[in-house]
Amino acid sequence: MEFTRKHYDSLNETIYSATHESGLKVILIKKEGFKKNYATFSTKYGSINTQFVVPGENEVTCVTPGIAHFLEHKVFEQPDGSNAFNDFSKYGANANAFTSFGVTNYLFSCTDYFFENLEILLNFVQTPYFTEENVEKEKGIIAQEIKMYKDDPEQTCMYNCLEAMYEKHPVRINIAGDVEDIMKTTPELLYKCYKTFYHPSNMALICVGNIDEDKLWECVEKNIKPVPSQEKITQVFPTEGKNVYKSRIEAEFDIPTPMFMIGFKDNATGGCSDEILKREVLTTCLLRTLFGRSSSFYEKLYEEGIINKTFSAFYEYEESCGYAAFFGESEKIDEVKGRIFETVKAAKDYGIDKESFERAKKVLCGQFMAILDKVESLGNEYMMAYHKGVNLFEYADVCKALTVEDAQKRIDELFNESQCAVSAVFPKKE
Amino acid sequence: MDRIELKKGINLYTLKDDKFKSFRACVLLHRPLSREEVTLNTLLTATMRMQSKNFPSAREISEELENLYGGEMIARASKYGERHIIKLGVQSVSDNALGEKGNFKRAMKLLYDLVLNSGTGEGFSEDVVRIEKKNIADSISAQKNDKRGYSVLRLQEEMCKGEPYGVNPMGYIEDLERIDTNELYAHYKKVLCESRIDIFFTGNFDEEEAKLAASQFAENLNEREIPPIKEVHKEVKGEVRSVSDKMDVTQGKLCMGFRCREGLGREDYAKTVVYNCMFGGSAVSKLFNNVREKLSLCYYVGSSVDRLKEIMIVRSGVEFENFKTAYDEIMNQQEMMENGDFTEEEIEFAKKQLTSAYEANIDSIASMEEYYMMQLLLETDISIPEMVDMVNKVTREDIIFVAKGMRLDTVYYMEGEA
Repeated sequence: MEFTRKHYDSLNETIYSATHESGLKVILIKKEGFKKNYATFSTKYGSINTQFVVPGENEVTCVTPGIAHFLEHKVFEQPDGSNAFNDFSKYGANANAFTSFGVTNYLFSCTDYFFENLEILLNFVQTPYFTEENVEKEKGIIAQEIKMYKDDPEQTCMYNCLEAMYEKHPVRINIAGDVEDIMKTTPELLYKCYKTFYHPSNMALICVGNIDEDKLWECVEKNIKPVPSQEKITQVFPTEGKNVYKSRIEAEFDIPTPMFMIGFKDNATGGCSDEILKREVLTTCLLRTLFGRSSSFYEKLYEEGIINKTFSAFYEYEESCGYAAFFGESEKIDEVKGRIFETVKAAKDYGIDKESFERAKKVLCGQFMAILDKVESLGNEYMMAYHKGVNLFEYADVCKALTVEDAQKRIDELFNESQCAVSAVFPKKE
Repeated sequence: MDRIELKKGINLYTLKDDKFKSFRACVLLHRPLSREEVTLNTLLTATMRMQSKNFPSAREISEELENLYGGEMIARASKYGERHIIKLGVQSVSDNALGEKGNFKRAMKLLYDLVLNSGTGEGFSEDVVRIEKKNIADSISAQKNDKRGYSVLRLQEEMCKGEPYGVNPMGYIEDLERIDTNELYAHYKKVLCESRIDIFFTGNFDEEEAKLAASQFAENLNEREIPPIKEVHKEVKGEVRSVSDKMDVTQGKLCMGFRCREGLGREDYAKTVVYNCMFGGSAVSKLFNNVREKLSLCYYVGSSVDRLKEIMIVRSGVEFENFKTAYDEIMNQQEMMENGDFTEEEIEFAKKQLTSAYEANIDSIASMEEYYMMQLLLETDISIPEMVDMVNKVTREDIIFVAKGMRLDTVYYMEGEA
């Protein structure tokens, strides 16, 4: 057997991992007693991967952000004109795909016929079929999808905030792209991106369930097509300034209560996997301590009616960019911003409350444990972390080791006026 | 599922499975869905999660949830057919997974207090109620933000005017303003005394501890005899009604409401499930493959059946200029179902799809709870394997039988303003 088995005693979970000769990473998270099986076949290619050097070439290739998502739509289409969705349905699987900023993921879940479904998954993703005609047809569907996002005040609020924070980084553009750019998509362009990013060495197959490891390996051996090896893809990301691009963007929508996203552009990016994981867990923990449901910030603003239950504070990290954000509804958006800074200042001056910080750690550990009960979430979280170079199963240990001192330092790095951008969506004036 | 009658009208259900690392405990209070009560229930549920005798502020409740390893509080009033069910519960990490005792007990203490000692012990605080009123008013106004959801809500309102089903489960702003704190507290007492109560434990927990916790609940509640709530079944009479709203959207929404022949949500439900999966309820459906994929008429299109009310709703996102074409094509697909214009393969796919979906329920504590709760609402006791078996026995004739039992009642269009 090719797999390396690792048992995490404290979690009582077992993981098998191996690298196939094609370069494909294969991971099995074994869940005994579970009926559902889940597989994700993903590539480290999302909307932000717009500039790259194709292995073997010297020049940088530039594409538009919507291409990864366009590809995702088209990969389902097969040479015989059929749609891979239908093949899954033969075996009762639920198949889907999504494109994020950094990843494109093809997935299915099923109870029976796991290996039949896995064969379908592996094969259709390895069989691109793009023609003038089928690419043309897809433009209409995707344009509809983009329109739908643009009708959505929440999405607009989020993207406006990213647009304000970042001047050049492609994270500022909708994952599905702009309609104008989408219309220029050609089969040649799709093939070029496909060949570069859908090479097995840039992909991972992650399975979760009560799946036999030997059979899994057999299935991989049988279905991963031999390809010439490929060097690592060089990604190019634009250099961003330390400060936000714009401090404020406003929009109007047919909504009753104003909506906001206040973002803090993180200047700490990159680093090794341990650093990335720690930064992510630490920042999430810090945000929860200062702005979570049991914080005095939340209690006061909620009681004063400045924020409501839609309020949340979170941290996002993508390759080469990260940000902390506050999302919610409020009639007094500037007041929210002011109070965030007051809270930060108090934490700087008087220190972070240790007890609150320890409670926040407990929460993060508990949330991680809860994911272990959910086959699909576990697969997705593991996959997203994997493509960032992070091992999800180290989450609890990293979390337990966090100290208030770490958090205290992080405050200074993150919460400065020059790093803050406000996106506000107001109700339309009659 | 094991059932224990704790007291007349109060039952305990346990669904234990140690493969999970979490447990979930929920108390269900059954209320009828009605215009008179709906806003009170929504406000009550929101208020109950904010304050109890031993956890006198939202902040203290939040702190306690954090101490429960980020325990999740469940507090919602949801529409099931023509019932409004208030669900209060806690989900957290099991003692087994933590390797320490006490987390379960601690969670039960919190849940007990939230349900039985809500408010200050003598009433609700004016401040809490004022804030929750505003929040609910905001949520009601915000229903319009989610255009997909709002179009379905509007269809239900129009199609079922005068029936409890047409009531907005979130409540009404004008009713909210009229409720005072004393009235709300009186409603709380009434709900505790006069509702059918079901207590559910799901996941990884100690059964003895669960029984003990549940009997402590029941000890402080009275016996009750509550007649079951039943949905009003209606048949389509007269012409198809057509309703439209103008809103600030760039993409139109088309929703179509069908009424089902009596029994399709009940004794014939296995047949209906197969029909719906083939018609519009899945990615193998006719609507998905033809209307969306082949004809590119919609960004999304799908159908769902409310088995309690016996209504089917088709929802879709369509360009304004394609309203008519999409409508015709949806009706065309429904006619094909009636005429038996579908393949053996389509039936087979749907069955496999459904088998997988039903079987997967046992991997989620929330889905298990939901599945078995639905059995209670329907007054049946069909286990998941039994349901899978029934689905797999459905014939071509059964599916045609269901298709012929669907009658279009109302069509709703969301149009652009310009």
